[in-house]
Amino acid sequence: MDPVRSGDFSNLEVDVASLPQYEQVKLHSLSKKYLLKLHINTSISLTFFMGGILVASFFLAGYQLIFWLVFGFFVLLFGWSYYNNYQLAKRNGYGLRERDVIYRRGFIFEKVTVVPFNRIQHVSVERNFLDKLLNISTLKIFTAGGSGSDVNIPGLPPETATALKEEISERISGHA
Amino acid sequence: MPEYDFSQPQRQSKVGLILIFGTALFHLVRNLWVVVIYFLVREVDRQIMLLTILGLFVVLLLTLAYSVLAFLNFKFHIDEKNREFVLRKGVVSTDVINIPFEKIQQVNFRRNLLQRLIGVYSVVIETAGSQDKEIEIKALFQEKANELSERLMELKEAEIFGGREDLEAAAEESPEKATFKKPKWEYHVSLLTLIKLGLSSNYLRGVGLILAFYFTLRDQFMLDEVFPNEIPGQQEFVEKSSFVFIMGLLLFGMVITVAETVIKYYDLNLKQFHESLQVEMGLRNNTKVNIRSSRVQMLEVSTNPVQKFLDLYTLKISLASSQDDLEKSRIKMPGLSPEVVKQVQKFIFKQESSEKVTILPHKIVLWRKFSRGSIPAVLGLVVGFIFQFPTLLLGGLVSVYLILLSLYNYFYFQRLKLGLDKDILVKTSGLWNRKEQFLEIYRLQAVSVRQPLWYKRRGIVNLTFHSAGGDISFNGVRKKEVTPLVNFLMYRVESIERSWM
Repeated sequence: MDPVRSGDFSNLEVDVASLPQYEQVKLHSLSKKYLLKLHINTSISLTFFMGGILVASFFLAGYQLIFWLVFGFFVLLFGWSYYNNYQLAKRNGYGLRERDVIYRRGFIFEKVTVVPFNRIQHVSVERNFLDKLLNISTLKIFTAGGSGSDVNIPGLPPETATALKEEISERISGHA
Repeated sequence: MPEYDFSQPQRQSKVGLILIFGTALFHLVRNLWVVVIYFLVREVDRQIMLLTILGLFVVLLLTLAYSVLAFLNFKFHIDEKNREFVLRKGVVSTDVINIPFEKIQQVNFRRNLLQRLIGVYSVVIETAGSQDKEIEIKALFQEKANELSERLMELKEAEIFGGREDLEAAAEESPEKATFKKPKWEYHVSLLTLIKLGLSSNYLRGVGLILAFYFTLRDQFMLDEVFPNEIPGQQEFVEKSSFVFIMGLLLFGMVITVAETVIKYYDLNLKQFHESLQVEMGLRNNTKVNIRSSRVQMLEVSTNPVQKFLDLYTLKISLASSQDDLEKSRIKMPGLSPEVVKQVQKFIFKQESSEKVTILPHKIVLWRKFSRGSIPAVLGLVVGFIFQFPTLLLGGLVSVYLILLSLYNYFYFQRLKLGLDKDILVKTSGLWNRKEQFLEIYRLQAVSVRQPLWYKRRGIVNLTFHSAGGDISFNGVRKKEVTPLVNFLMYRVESIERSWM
């Protein structure tokens, strides 16, 4: 509980330059299977939409133009989705430092979150049905900051996820 | 002052019975009023009337019996051996609720109108557990309520610091006890201030309330049939009456806004004790909350130019909540003088903030806001051309709009600022509704740096600071400028071994 040694920070500017840089941490990318998972999810919705369009085309026999417009729109949309998946799998990544965990996600809207270990409430590893099929796990990191600062790292090999979970748990208790 | 012994199971004050019965009756009447009206309006023969009255009598007796049982079975005590607060309740089945001392978050008081009449308080114990978020002991006299709340908070503190041999805390204990009853300072918001506050707030809220009320009424009773839409008459008359109608609506909105402000914040009273800030307010639902500085996660001070002139500032305090319902754990205190705001800040932060580093947003923020705001103007132009409005009028309107838009956005942009000193982060924003948000660095839970693809080339990012009392976002800043800031913040959070709650 001892108050911060204020003497250390009399000069903000100089100190900051020598601090560890979060930007320079080399992030680990997610498992290749994560891309597969994203593609599977997209493909499932693609099937549904295409089915819907096919059914609709029977009723819209007289409106060829509308049909092709809608069809074209969905082709573009899903084309974009697959490309987005590819970019996500390429860009998303996590990194562990001595005192915090960094997670970067998003393609169009990139978001990098840094969560210090001494602010993590708990960690858990979760797998849904698809995850089990593909043999990957999601690591969930919970903070008191609510959904905004919680971090979910999907597409990790189960061993990595468990190892990370254990490592983080240990560091949390080290701080508590 | 009499000493109360909480170690034995005990009931609420005897008047609690009235409260329980009264509340039960209220619910009964609320559910049965349709039946009552039915009998009043319709003619019924004597026999059914008699049966009904008999039935009502039985229901009343049952309610009374229920209330008595509920009162008798409601018992609470403090079990110091097992370190918990125990509450037994229930009429048919018995519920036992045990709250370990360390799970107690906060003890507050609450009063509704009936409780005010009887002169009792509800003691509300907020817990961190998941089973019940809070439990309520509905009828205790003020002294006993105070005693219970103090006792519980003491035990909770002892539980938390019990592990360590805290000599400092023990040393602090005695003077604190002596001064506990006497607040360091007290501030009371008068009725006049509240009226001024209501008058200087946004009436649109009041108008919104009226509209919402009107629409629910219309849905329920089909007001259309009573007031047919088509009023026969001249166009001129309609125009005049709609002007009167709008003015009337605004006036009524003003009245409603004032009334709402007065009812919600009636008798707002702040008292600062050694360790906590006591806030009491409300006419219909009076609450008394003890805020400990350690639980405060974020602070917001806001005012508008009119209120600033009248020396009225609003404080919003965000308390820690592990759930996502942040709005609920936010306490709003309007109508404070700048001195009081300073005092509260001093109480919460223990020091004054002296901004050392200031970060301003990139011009792109201004440009984006402006271009978004000019969309209506463009739409207006297009529509105007299609319907062939007079060019002069159209051009005039659009230019006036654009000039106002530019002015507003320019000054809004000028005010946006993120300040930082050694310990506190301050965001300043808002042109009419000016606000300053304060976040102590060690309360930070995480920091997010967001960057849309189109900001990448310019090297601009949006920042979000996450805390347990909500997030603060600051958008459109140069990455080169804020990366050191993020590094510094993380360094501070990670190197301070100070509990954020």
